[in-house]
Amino acid sequence: MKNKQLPPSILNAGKAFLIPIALYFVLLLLIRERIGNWNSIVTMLVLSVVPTITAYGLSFGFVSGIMDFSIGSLMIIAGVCSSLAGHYFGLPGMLITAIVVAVFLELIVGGLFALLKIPSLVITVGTLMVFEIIGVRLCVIFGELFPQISTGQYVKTAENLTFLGAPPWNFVVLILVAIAYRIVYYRTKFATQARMIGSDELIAKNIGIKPLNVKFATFLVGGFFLGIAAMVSACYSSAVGYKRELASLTMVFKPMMAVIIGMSLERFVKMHVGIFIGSLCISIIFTGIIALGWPDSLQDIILGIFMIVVLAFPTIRKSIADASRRRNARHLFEHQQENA
Amino acid sequence: MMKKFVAVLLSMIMVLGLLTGCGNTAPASSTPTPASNAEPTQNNDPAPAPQEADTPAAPALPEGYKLGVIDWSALGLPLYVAALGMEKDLCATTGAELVTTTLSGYDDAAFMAAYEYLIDQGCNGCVVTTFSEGPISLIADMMEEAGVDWFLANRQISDPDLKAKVFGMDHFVGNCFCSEEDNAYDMVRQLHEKYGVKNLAVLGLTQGDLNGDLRDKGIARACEEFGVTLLTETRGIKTVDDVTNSVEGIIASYPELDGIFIVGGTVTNGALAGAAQALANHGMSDKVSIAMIDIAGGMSAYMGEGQPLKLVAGGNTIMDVLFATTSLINHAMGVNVDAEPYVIGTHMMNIFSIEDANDYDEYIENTSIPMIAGEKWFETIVGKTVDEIQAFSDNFSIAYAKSLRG
Repeated sequence: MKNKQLPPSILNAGKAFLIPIALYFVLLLLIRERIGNWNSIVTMLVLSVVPTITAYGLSFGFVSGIMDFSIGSLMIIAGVCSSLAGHYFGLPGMLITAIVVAVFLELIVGGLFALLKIPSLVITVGTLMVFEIIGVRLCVIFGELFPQISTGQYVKTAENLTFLGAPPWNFVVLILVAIAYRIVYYRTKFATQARMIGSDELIAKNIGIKPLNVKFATFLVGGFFLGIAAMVSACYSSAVGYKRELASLTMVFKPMMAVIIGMSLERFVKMHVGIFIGSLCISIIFTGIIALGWPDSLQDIILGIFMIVVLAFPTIRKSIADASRRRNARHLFEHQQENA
Repeated sequence: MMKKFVAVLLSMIMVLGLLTGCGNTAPASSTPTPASNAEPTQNNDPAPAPQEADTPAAPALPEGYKLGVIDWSALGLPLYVAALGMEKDLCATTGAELVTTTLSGYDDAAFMAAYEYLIDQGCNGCVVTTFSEGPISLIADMMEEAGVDWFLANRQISDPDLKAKVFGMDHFVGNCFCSEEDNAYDMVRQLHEKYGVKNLAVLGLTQGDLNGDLRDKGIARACEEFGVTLLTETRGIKTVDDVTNSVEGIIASYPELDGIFIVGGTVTNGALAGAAQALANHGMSDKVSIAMIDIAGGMSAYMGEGQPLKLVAGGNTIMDVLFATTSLINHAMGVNVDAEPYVIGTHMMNIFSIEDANDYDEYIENTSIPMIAGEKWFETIVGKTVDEIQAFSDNFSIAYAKSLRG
């Protein structure tokens, strides 16, 4: 009888999903009565939707070596504009506005990056500050022009569109976006070039790739996904409020961690699945900390440690494998010497 | 040739820069600072308005009196627009010149820079407010050194040493604040007694926020006293999304949740909308009661039958601003000079219904019609004793504000 084995792709996916499952089981051991219900699991999945789509938008730049810290403020502007558009033009208007605004803003950020040729960190933090103030002004102006929709501090999403932020529609959106992401990430020349630039820019240059053009393109393509993330986020929380004092900077951390986890899981699963797993892990930790009644400052500590562990895992495994190989080689050498 | 051209160009730029620099400093140095200005001296030894023996005249302000305040209206909150409107009207009525500045940030340095600017503008009195106790000592020294009278608004000093220092200063006129601890305590009491809340979750401010810490104390005290279980607390939330995430997480982990306390409703813009949406997603809008400190725009949409928002408390900030500016004007007029430094206690107004919310918006935080205007100032708090001002504060309510409109 032939020994039937699971396809490697399923086995690998199983290995990757072991991380969130293990995290969930740890929480189950600690607080079974609070976490061990279907509602908790759905909540964890819901909490990972927006960060996953945001991480998709962030990932193109990230793999090519760009750190975009402006995405939070950009999403606020896109969210504010799309929420307003949603009231007058329905779902199509909301979607188109979100994408157009996000792509336009990324065009500015990417354009500045390409023109000025200064580090992305500087450009994106600078534009973040400008975008935050634009967000404030937009909220205030909308508050004066459309008092029924905006309070001056935040813009409300049309009630008939908030369904997009709740299950099952948010999962439908996530799946569609993940498919689109997979196609762009694995089937386009630009994404391949972006990955190549990220791994070695010099070699990429030598084979004729123009890094600056590709990096500029990562902003634009990322803008498309960020626009969708802004729209889903506005539908999810039913409002978009402005942020000041670099507060929108915090919006980048969770997606960035999800991208890092996704990259480290790429040997097991495709990037879009890896990113989702990363977001899911973060939302499990977040929900767990709330359920444990721990102060939220611990969330940052635990998330930080978790990220270090995930990133260090391949290195630790490689070190163990290297040590084992050296030990075997030494044993072999000693054995040969004894025989001689 | 090119090198020479660049060298000449650079030299010209440097010379131009120097000239521009001189141009900027010249007016500042020629304008006397409050320390060397005659006005603060008048202020230190305020000359009471000439009093006729038989006809008592209304107290008058020294000519050219400048009142410095921070203008928060750029934040877009009606509260600050309304407060600025009242300050303008008060100054116009009493003959003071209002000097405003905006903050370049919300850290201690930004506050220091703002007050330094107001001092440089020759203000005789400044309304001081800060987010933490940290900069108060330095601001106090700055004011003292410049000879500018100042009034600490909306902040209670908890450090006894700092309090002793500040209250011992010559130019410190007084302090007004609302008892944040008692107010938070009372809100939890009302949530428990009126709405039967037994399991409470708190969406709090960042630890270290002066008012937030006091509110936390009040919540903890009330929970202990009334047997309310404090399920969990989440702090320093930055975005609406985070509020929705937190409430979703709380609902998933604590199905027994029946109350949410939003400690700073305007700190996270749209916090109420985010929390209400999470409750709606789980069909719990009518099962969970929300109480919120800070009056946020659009709150009436979440009040009423089947809606979660049951109690909002706020309005103390506008009263603090009101009393701080008036106290400085009174001081300059020579009123309550012997009584100071004094403390005026303010209180938050409770809003339970859509009607309350609408009345509040119309009569207190109206951005186009000041709550108190013209001669009403003299009928209410200008030129009044500390006890009269305190009585005004104690009796103040939305209904009273309505009656002021006449």
